[in-house]
This record gives sequence, structure tokens and C-alpha cells, in this order.
Amino acid sequence: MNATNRGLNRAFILFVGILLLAIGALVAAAAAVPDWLVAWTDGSARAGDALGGAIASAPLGFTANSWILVAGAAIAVLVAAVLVVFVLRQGRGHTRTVLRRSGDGGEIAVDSDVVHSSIERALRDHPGVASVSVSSYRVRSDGAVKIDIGVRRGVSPADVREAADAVVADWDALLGESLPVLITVNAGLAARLAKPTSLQTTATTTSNK
Amino acid sequence: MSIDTSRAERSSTPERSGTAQRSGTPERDNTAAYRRIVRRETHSPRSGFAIALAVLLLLVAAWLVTETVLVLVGAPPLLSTPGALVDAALALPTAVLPAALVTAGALVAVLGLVCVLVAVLPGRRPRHHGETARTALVVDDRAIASALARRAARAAGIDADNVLVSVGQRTAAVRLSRSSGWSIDTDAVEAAVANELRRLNLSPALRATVTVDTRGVVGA
Repeated sequence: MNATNRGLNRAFILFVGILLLAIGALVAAAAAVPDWLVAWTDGSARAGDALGGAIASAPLGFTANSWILVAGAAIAVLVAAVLVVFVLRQGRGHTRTVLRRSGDGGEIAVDSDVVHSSIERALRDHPGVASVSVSSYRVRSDGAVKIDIGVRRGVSPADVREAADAVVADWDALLGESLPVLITVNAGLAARLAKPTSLQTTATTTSNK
Repeated sequence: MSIDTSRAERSSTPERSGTAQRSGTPERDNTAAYRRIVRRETHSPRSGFAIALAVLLLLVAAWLVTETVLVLVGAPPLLSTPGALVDAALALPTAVLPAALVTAGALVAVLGLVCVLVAVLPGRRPRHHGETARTALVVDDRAIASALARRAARAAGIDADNVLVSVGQRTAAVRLSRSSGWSIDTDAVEAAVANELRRLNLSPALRATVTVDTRGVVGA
């Protein structure tokens, strides 16, 4: 639910993939076909001469080095900077305010901590719930709430959802607005290690252990 | 809340009629937001792969910059100078055996193909989503398996530890191991599992198959 630009992630991976695929295939093909290997050798030699000429005609002051070397390093720095920004922009999108409305009497902002702690407290006591964690994100410029629930072993996600929906209904009445709410139900490590609960709303008998 | 199916798929402009409905009913159209949220929760963002790739390229770029600086200050290179690298690349067709070049090229191409596949494939996570009503629900496949195992065990009258459920994208395989001398009411188990699946109402829909381990386990 975070603000990761998934299209950009995929575009980046695709770009690198196509580049590697093209280089690898060309090298393999050129080495495999004798005529192409000759052409590659000639081309390589010509490219070397051209590069040598370019380097000789672009001296860097009085040193033995060339501007081309510095230009190459500058491009590498630029690429590195873009990559750092790319990596740091992953994730994010959390918001401190789930709802902000202004009216005649002023502005009201609902802090996400209020929503988080009260939903967590309301669900923690449910017998099927092993853990709850609530977070809020910005989705299409509005707040959206995510309720992550770890269930105890064997508990039906449908039961847990009913409980969570009831809590959300209370919040709707309080806010006068229904924010998007995502409920995720997981069987985490704690849930797997936990004993099966003997309480379930749909149960007619309890586990025979 | 009614779900308007005529709404455009993947609409980039949320056609929400005025975002600020301060008073009155708490009903508002979250359809577009839910569609986006559920899709994002059930598919991989490819962040891990993209970050790993970016860090790898970052290291190469940083190393090239370092080598360049070392050349400019006249210090010995860490591994190789940029000039020597360029020379080596140009000498590739003559200095390396063609067979080695073919192998290396094929390896690089395979790596590239893996990247292309990662970029193009949907990358579904082992999760299913429930019906979107007031809230949206995404359930981990392990939680589904655990709930089905409990229901199957209860219907069969055996311990939950003797039920193995594996949930795939469209199938849920329920395997029960039977204590020797006891019989299992397979119809009851199938009904219980189907009933639980109906309650969960997942997408993609799961079809359950129930099998009883015929070996029979003593003392289980």
C-alpha cells in the first residue's frame, strides 16, 4: 500500500535485462560465427584507434590524462546519484493524518495515531487474533488505513474480518466518512507456534486435543 | 456500498464526485482505491530485485569513479585502471578463446532474460483477496490453509496436526492422515471445507480436493 513506483521498478529491471540480453547474445553470436568474429576484431581495432585519437586530441591540462577520462567519471557519478535516489524512493507513503476536512467552523485533522491505537486496542482482545498492527497510507491523495491481523492457528479469516468490519463501522460513524480500509490476514510465525484456539463462532465442537 | 463494474479499469483519474462530503451518509465510492490497493497487495512490487540491481550498478559506478580519481592523482589502481579496462574490452575478440566468449555471452544473456522475466511476469504473491464490501480483505495463503485444516480436522474427528493443506492459486489440497482402524467421513470433510471456502469467498476462487492417506498411522 506504500507509494513505491512499481512501474518504474519494472521499467528499470526491464532496461537492465534487455541490455544484458542484447550484449550477451551479440557476444555469443559474434564469437560463434567465424565471419562475425573477424568483423568484430576489425571493428574493435578501428574503435580503439578512434578512441586513441580522441584521447590524444583532448588533453587535460599538462597531465598525461584526457578530458574523456574525467567525462567518463562524471557520467558514472551521475548514474550513481540517480541510482541512490531510485533506491531511497522505495517504500514511503505513510501519512500522519488520515483525514483533513475544512468547514465553516475551521479545519479538522484526524491524526493517524488516534485511529491506530483505538483499532488495535479494539481488535487485540478478539480470541482469534494473535497480533494487530494498523498503519495509514496516502492513496490517491486521500488517507487509507491498513489493518494487519495475525490470526491464531485455525481461525477463519472470515470471523476475524467480521470483527474488524464492526470496528471500522464504529469509526465510520465517528468520522462521518468511510475511508478506504484494507484488512490483511496473516498466519505469522507467532500464529503458527500458538496453540489452536478452542473458541470459534462457527464451531459446534472443539478440537479434540 | 455498491460496486460499479462499469467503472473504467485502471482509471488514472479517480472519478470521485467531489472528495469532500462533510456531512450526511458515510458512503463514498472507494472502488477505484480498493482496486488499486488489492492489486498492490496481491502482487510483488519488485522492490527487492530492483534495489539489489541498483546497488550492484551503484558499486560498479563507484568503483569506476574511484579508479579514475586514483589515475588522476597518480596513485596505483585498486584492481585496474580505466584505460586498461577499455583496452581489455577492445582486445576481447582476439585475446579470449571464441568458446569462452560464447559461454560468457550466453551466461550474460541468461541473466538478462531473468531480469526481463522478473520485469514482465505479474509476480503474484501467495495471497488471495476476499469480497470487497465496506473494507477490502487480503488473506495470506497460509492463513487460508490453517483455517481449512481446522475445519477439515473437526469434520473428520482427527487432530489438526494430522491434516495437511496446501493452498495454490486456484486449488486447495486437503490431505488427511488416518489412524488405522478408524474411518473418515470424506463427504463431511468435503462439505466442511467447501463451506469454509464459500464463507471466505476468495478470488481467485479456490477448488478443494480432499484425499485421505490410506496407509493409516498407528497412534496418530
